[in-house]
Amino acid sequence: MSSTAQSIQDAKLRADIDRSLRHPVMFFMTSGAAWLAVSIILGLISSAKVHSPEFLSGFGWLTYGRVFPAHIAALVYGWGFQAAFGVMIWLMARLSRQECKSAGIILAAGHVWNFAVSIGLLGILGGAGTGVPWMEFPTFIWPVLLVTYFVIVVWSFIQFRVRPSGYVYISQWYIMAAMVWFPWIFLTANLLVFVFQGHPVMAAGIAAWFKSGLIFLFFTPVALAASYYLAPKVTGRPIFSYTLAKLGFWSLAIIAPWAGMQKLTGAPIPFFLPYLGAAATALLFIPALAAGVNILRTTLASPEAVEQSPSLRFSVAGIIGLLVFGFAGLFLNLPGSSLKLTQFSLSGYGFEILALYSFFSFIMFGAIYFIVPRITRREWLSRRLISMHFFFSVYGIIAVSVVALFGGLMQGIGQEEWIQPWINAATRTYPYAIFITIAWAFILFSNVFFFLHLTLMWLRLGRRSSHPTLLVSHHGGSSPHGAEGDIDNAGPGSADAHAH
Amino acid sequence: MSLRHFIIGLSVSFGLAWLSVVVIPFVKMRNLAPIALNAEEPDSGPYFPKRAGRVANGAEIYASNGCYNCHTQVVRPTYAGNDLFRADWGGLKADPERGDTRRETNAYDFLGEKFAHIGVSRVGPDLSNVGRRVEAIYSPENPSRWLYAHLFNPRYEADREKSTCPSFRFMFDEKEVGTGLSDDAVTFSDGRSPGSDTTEFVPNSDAKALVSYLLSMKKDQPVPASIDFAPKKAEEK
Amino acid sequence: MDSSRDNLFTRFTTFWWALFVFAGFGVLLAVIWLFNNSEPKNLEDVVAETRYKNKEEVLKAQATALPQEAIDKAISVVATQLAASKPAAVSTDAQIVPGSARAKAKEAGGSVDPSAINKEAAESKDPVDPAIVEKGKASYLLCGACHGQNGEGVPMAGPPLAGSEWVTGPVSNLAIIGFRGIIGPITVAGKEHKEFVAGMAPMAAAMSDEDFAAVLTYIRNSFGNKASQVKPEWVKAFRGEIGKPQLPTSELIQPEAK
Repeated sequence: MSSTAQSIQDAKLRADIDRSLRHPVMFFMTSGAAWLAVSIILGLISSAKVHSPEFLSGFGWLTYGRVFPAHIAALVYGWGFQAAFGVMIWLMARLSRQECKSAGIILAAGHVWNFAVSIGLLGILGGAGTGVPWMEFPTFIWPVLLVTYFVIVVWSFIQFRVRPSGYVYISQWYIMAAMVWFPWIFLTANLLVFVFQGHPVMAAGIAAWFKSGLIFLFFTPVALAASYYLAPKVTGRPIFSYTLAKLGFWSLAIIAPWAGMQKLTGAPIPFFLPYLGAAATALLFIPALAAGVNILRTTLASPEAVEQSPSLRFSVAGIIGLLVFGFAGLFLNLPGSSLKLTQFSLSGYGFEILALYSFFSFIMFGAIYFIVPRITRREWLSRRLISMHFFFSVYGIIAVSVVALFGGLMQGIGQEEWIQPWINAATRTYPYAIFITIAWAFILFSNVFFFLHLTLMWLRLGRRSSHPTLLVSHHGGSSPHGAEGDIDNAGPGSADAHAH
Repeated sequence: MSLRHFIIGLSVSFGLAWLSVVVIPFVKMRNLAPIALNAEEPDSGPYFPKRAGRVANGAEIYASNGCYNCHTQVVRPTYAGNDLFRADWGGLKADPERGDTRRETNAYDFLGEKFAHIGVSRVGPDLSNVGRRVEAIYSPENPSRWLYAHLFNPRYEADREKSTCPSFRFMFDEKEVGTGLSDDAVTFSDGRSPGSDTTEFVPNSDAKALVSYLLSMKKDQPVPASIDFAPKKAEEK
Repeated sequence: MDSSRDNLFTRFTTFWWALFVFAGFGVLLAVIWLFNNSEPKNLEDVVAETRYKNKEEVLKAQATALPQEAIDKAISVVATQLAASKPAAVSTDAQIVPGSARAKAKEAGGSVDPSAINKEAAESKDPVDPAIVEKGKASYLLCGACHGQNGEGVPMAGPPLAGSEWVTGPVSNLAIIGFRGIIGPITVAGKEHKEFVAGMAPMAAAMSDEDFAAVLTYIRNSFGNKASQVKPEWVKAFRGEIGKPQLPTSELIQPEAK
């Protein structure tokens, strides 16, 4: 086949794939964004209660101890998983060059997932939470989530298996790994904590291992898969080093399953467990560095793409978030010094938000800004909405990083000053708590724009154009929107920039 | 690399950690062997720190109201933190009968609970010995009164004005006062009680279970020599 | 890796392979669980082991000391006695729960001075009425479970009454033991007994004065013992002791060793 005929064939295949996936992926993106909004509102309420405990006080369903776990549950199971599902399904379909034949089943399963998370959240707020951090849904929910998960992702597993011969993309390995790791840790943790009877302290250790596993063995590989796709795709350049990518992947696979139990340092469990956990978490800067260097060197080779493309800008910000998060893992878990200070401080929450928002969510935003125009065949309506989303999220997440890396240490130092009465240590949290509330306010503000924008796209109210919405506007005749403005089905010149 | 090799590689790298860090420690720790209370006297029986109070019910209330997000229940040994140096966290520094009773948490301290609420962060103090503190220091004549008052309005007392503990008002029912305040009606240290002239606030069953659970937290009993790391014992030897 | 892989069969098998891989570690966990799912040893049960062991030994000893045939023989006697007895008053001292507030109040109250009764009993030269002894023997059946049907004592259950200086000693001791029970070590005929960990319950608290006096007369005049008959009014004087806790022998009048 001639190359032009081949590229037309490819373009048609891509369009077919996108059309087959439109409903499930848009559902996951939009409902995920809705859950993100819910989670941020809950996060704002709970953060306000840390420094102003009389805020909305006296109601059982709004007490801090229920609102905060609800915030985390909505963030992780509502937004995190659904964004991940949308990205995983679309990426695997595109990279394996397969149309999705099970869109209906996936969509139905997605609704069941939503329903289960809603019931779980109501359960937490209603006082039926289990009290296990990150596993607070009432215990009848987790089997539903597991089965639904299987029904959603197994088709991508099959797509990979029956893919046509050729190059296997790094992203595909990361997606397969995430797909397989999650049920392994989820089933293990839920069986050992809720079903099989064991020692209570060991159950707490396994819950901590699960929390770490969810971050490093599910959200991290999904985000890395998306960024390993977006970076070469948008810049048009190959990945800087395939070897470095393999090193990054296998170092993550080998190190990450050992991490997590450092939360239980000093508790009555076998001595080696928390210290292995601390060592593993600290060493995870290696895969973070590998992936970060790889992707940054790929993207920064064409800085104008980073400046113009919203997907790439969010992805690069996310990768910088990965580097901050990877090194935070190193500095916050040094057994001789910082571990005892950060073990029971704000650092833990800040670290988790760094992972879930500054790294995972930013990359998911980048992926969403890339994927949605392709499956809805509309372009984003306004670059200003995208810019607002970007900058306010960045402001917010910088505030959270400061709190995590600095505030938590300060709080821990206060806690360790045993001569002072406890109220001294407790009041040290005050300024950092206010900072976190402001950070969430910024992030809520930014995500209002995002959710608005996404809903308009979902309602197919986006711009009919083949010119992508870029973050930099070109005035004058060379505007990418073309001379006529919005409606422009322009020719080959614009199609190249858009031929993804 | 084929899919099969990939899955095998993944299984091995994950499985090694899964076995070493999760499953084998879990299985081994299920059957914690009892330790003899006094190794020299074979009839002394095992070390059995039995807890009095509604441990199971109260732990459920503690869990579902998220107390573990701000309070911990672990007194770390000195290599892991300074918890033991505080005068009333690991026990009492100056108990009238036993002297210094402080010790770190051991594996038998969570008897009766299915999940140890080690805790997520310390906004409030550690609760391992809150029962001991309340009964010995805060309000010996009526320990549960102090706890009900704290749950109802943590910020009422002057020394805890800045507390950020949520108010658990929803665990109390407002009732008409009978011939006098009920025994367990909420009253503060200055004798005043919330509610109007004719009403009082009485704890509901959740509050009672929670307070009973909190009062059961006295984890400073004497421990067998094999798990007793208090320095003075070393001196005596 | 060619496109002929994309067929229904491959898709079908991959589906099940995916299920197997996803559930892999869960299945492994279930298998490990199958071999390790014994109930973990509860500390409560460990502590209770010694208690259960004691209980087994006492039950065994009692079974030999009070065999079923003796019980069957005695049923008609006991039944007649029960039928002839008067209904108990609504409130008796036997109904006081040991350790309760009322029991504590009673304890705080004064005790009866036993010296007059003991003196009378020690110096009494009245002949012993054989009818009373027979009546006491019928009631003794239950006592024999722990003290032996011939007063020889039962290991782990009760000390011997034969040749016991307590039996022939001050009557106040016997009345108080019957109404309050006894706990702790006891020296009988020169031998110290520490093995009766549960002590003796107040076996006489629900008996009438006459029946109790009869049993006491029986044991004081059997098994080789020889002592005076016990009068019901002597026993009645100590009724106030009912409801007080089991007492150690140190609080009783030490009898002269034989």
